[in-house]
Amino acid sequence: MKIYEIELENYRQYRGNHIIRLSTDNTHNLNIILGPNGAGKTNLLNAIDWCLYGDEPSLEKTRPELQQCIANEKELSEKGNVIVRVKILMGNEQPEYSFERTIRISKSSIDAHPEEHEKSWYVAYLEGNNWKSYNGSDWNNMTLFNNIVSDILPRGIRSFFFFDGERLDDFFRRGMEHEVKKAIIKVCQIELLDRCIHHLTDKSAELRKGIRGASSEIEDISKAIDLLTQSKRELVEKIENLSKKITEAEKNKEDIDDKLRKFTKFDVPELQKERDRLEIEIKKIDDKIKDKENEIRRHFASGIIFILGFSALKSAYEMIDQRKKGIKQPRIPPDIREKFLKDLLTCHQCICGTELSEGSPQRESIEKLLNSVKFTSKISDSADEGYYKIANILEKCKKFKSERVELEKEYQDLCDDRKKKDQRLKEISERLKGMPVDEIQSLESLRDSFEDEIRKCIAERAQKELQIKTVEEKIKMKNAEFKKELEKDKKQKKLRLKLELCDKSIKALNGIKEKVAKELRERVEQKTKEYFLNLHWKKEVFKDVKIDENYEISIINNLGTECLGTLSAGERQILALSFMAALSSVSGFEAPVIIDTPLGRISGKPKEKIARSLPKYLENSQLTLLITDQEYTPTVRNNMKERIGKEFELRYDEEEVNTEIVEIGGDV
Amino acid sequence: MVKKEVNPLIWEELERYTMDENLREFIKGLLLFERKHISEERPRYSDEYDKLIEKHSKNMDSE
Repeated sequence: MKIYEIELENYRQYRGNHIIRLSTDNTHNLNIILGPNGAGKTNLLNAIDWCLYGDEPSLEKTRPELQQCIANEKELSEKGNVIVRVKILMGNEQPEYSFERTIRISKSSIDAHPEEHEKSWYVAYLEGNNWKSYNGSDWNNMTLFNNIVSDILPRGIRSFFFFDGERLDDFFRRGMEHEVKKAIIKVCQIELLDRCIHHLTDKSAELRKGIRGASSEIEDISKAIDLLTQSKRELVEKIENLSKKITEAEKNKEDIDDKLRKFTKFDVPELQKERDRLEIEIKKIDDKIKDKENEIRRHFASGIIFILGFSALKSAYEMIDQRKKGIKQPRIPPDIREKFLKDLLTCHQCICGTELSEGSPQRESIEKLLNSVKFTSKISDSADEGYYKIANILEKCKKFKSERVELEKEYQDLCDDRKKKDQRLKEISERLKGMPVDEIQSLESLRDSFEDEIRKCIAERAQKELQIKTVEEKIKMKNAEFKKELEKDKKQKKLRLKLELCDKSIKALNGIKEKVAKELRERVEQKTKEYFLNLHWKKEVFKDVKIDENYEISIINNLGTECLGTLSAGERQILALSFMAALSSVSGFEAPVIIDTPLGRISGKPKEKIARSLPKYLENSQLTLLITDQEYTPTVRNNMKERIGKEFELRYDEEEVNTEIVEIGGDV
Repeated sequence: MVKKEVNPLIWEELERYTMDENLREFIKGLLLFERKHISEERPRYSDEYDKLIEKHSKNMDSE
């Protein structure tokens, strides 16, 4: 899907009528829109969002104080009445969809609520050779328009296709795994599976509630399931809120760290650097502690039988041992005794070399022994056999104890190491709080409060996750009870089949979701790694990019150490661009990609490398870059030239409050 | 009109997953409905789900 044309009328700095016709050529699908700051690059992105979705998400974060009114201010002050209109023409191999949004703003109503302005919308699509069009004047009632937009690019994921490159690095700050997970789930449509499961669960509950003439047992179980399901939903919601809080606090903490790093006075940057390092080390120790805890648990589970049975086994061993000591002659173990004696008789020779010829006293003695062996009681045999087995188990018990001591020691060492590092972090924090600069003191105190909040939220989230598991178990049991009761009642066959259909589908959807989520995560991981390692200029520094089961991303350097936390802003932007390109390639949406300031934080050589590779990674998408002249150096342009379809320049006239869109290039 | 695409990976996994054809068709119906209404926070799913459940539970009966 491509954007063929964008038409702007009196939209912010685009005074009068402006049309920009983008390149839709499959081999030259890169469009460059060049302009200095303030010329209207971000507002071009806003115009697209406004036309298709009715809002301008990039606005509040840029310059809210300057951008109160959507209408061109000069036009409004001169004419007193302005029509603001944005039209977008989209399609695959030809224009197939036309979207248009219009609002009339007058000077007198400029401060009025948006609802009070005269508005309209228009949508048209190509059916065969004919255009079918629809329009209306109520933005709250434009379902067809919204549905067509949603089929192309749903509102919830547009930010992964239309985005500001400079803000991307937020994605990979510490604690942002929640955002990474959300991106993969939304963009790759795992959300669809979640919605099916959610709605089917609701339908099951509804079907159960609607049951008529059922036994009181069935009704009681149904009520219990409803209560449990409700409590599960509440827990899920609480966990989501806690995750959001953690992400927000992590982001705030990271912002403070950024500010502290910039202080040149005293030894603040050194302390911050040490803290960064310690936090990375602590994270690794925490992982090791978790692994060790699991190892101890597994070891304990495998040895629990020895621990519980140790004294009983020891007594049994001693009893048999005493009995054995009471027997003067040494004995062969019971399970081999009979066979052994028979073998001697067959071979006519004892193991000491004595001949066992027929009728000889030696042979008779063995035959006598064989007969007595046959009469040995089974209990005696078992006792003899057990004696050796118990001895073996007791040996394992001793080994188990020493292994356990060793594991406990390793665990304790890790805990001690963590404690030491924690102590050092506290010292750093105290030192920063004691610095004779008010700003440092207050930043550090604020950081403390965010850390405290993160700790509390993580603990609460873990508790809620445990509670969910318990509730899920109970729901499972109750569902089984319900099914059993329902089977007894022949009148309820129809309902039983419906519920069975829902249950089986939920089970299948969960299975599919698990597999698809894993597959997509791995594909995004593999593509992100491929792009990041290729785009990064320090080839020898980084070795791997991983996205684990918890959607936590890590960058591994050549020493095998995780180093995401130490990436520079530019490196984080490269990682984010790689991640976005990876997402786009596995998303299942063929939407155009528009990036504002794609190379803003990236310097010299790396910029040139990205210029060469990024369009290649997004070769199946129409890519439009809103770029400044600092980003668009001659080398950058040269590196992109094979893919460039069209180049435009935004020329802002301050006096006229107008930006002209001029197609340039020609020699590309 | 736009082809309402469900991510091909989901489709492939659904085809691979061991289940009877009636159940597979039922889930396909649900997924297409959800894809169509992906932008709506609270789509009115009830009628469509009822219709699909009614149809496919009858097929279960005849299995």
